[in-house]
Amino acid sequence: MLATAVCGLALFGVTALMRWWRVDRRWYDPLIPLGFFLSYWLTYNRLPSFPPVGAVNKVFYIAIVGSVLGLAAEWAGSRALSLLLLVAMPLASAAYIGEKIVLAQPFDLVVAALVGAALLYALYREAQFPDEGSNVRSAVMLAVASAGFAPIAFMGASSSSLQLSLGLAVGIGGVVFWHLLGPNYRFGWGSLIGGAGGMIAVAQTVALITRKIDLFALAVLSLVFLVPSICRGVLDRLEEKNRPVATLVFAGLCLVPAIAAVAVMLARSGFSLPL
Amino acid sequence: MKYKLKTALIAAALLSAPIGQEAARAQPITFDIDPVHSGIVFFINHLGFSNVIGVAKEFSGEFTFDKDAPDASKLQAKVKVSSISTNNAQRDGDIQGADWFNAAEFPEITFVGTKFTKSGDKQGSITGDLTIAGVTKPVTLDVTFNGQGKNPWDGSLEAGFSATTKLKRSDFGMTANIPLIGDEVTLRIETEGRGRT
Repeated sequence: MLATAVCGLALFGVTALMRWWRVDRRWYDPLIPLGFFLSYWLTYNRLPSFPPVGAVNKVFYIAIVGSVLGLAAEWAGSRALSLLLLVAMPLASAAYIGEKIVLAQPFDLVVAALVGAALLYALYREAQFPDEGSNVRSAVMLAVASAGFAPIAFMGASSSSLQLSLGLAVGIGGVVFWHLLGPNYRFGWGSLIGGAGGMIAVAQTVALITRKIDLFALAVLSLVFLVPSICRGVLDRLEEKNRPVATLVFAGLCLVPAIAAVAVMLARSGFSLPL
Repeated sequence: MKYKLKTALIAAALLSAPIGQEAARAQPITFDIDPVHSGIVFFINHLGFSNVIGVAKEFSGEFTFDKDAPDASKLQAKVKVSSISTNNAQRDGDIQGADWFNAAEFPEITFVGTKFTKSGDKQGSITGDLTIAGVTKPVTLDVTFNGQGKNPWDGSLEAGFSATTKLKRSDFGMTANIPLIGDEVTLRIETEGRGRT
């Protein structure tokens, strides 16, 4: 829990300084990847070996490559390259993480890649809305999904994923806090391919390698990414009246499927901690 | 009387012949690890209150050993990760995952001895490369030579050893839940090898 708090405080502090210095919104894009790497480092107490050994190490390098390519695409302004990355990264991460099971479970790898791409697209789509709060909403979605994923991963035999996910979720919370009132935030391709892509790689690891996670609970959790589509009308009306409240309501709506997913997981498997 | 003494001496010489032949042979013998009479047990601390016991149920290997020249020994062994048990089905499933042994990617633990040192009449050490979850680290086992001889049941040649060591699971990338679940793992191995004929 200390590591989670450190992630939150670190990104809270950095974002506060950036707001104080009035930096361009594009510079906020690397914050979510930074939060992911900080959380990873605090979770595993080390940087992974290179070349990576095993899926847990691979996750780190997938996030590194995703962040570099994503930030490059962001600064280059190449939409075609960015969309290519959106499709290619989840596919590449599923193939890389699951390389040893590709022959035994090819269908699982394909599903993991497609779901990953669909989730990235949902985040991308929300960030494309022209209102000032759209990028913050993508960050909120990722934070809530990460927070919801944490206990599901924990009960799916991955306590490390619990810590990593919570660290990222709280870190994003520290960033979003400073953009509630007057958003000047950019959830760009670095955040999407590096940060969200890294989290998708974590989920792929737990689902494909550890294989004890409740897939039905994960399916319920993925409804977080449909909240903007389902609640668009309500959100638009709130956005016109009070933007901070609209963002908080949006976060609350995202929490509904996240809490439901955890409840489903607990109802199906109970709560037992043999370790 | 002389005839009886001569006969007795010849009989004694004949009876002692196998021992003499074995001594004269004095060459390394390759033994297959006998899983029926061998075991691998580990202990890992839980919250400082207890040491949880784990066992590996499926393993195999071979060693080449000459008790007169133990330095020239050879050893290789492997453990099937999916056979590791801690007497709790849920936990046994959990430790197969990516945070722990990562059985999907690394289904076997292997040990290859590289240096064999005799330090006493029955004592010695084996240093070797232990590979767990894809990470290889040098590990030294403190070894006791229990004995070598014929199995009275079937006449096969047997050799037995006991070994212990301590290692850090974090060295092998398994950092989950440290320090709640101990980083240090105590390993105890009992091995009986059956000589190849």
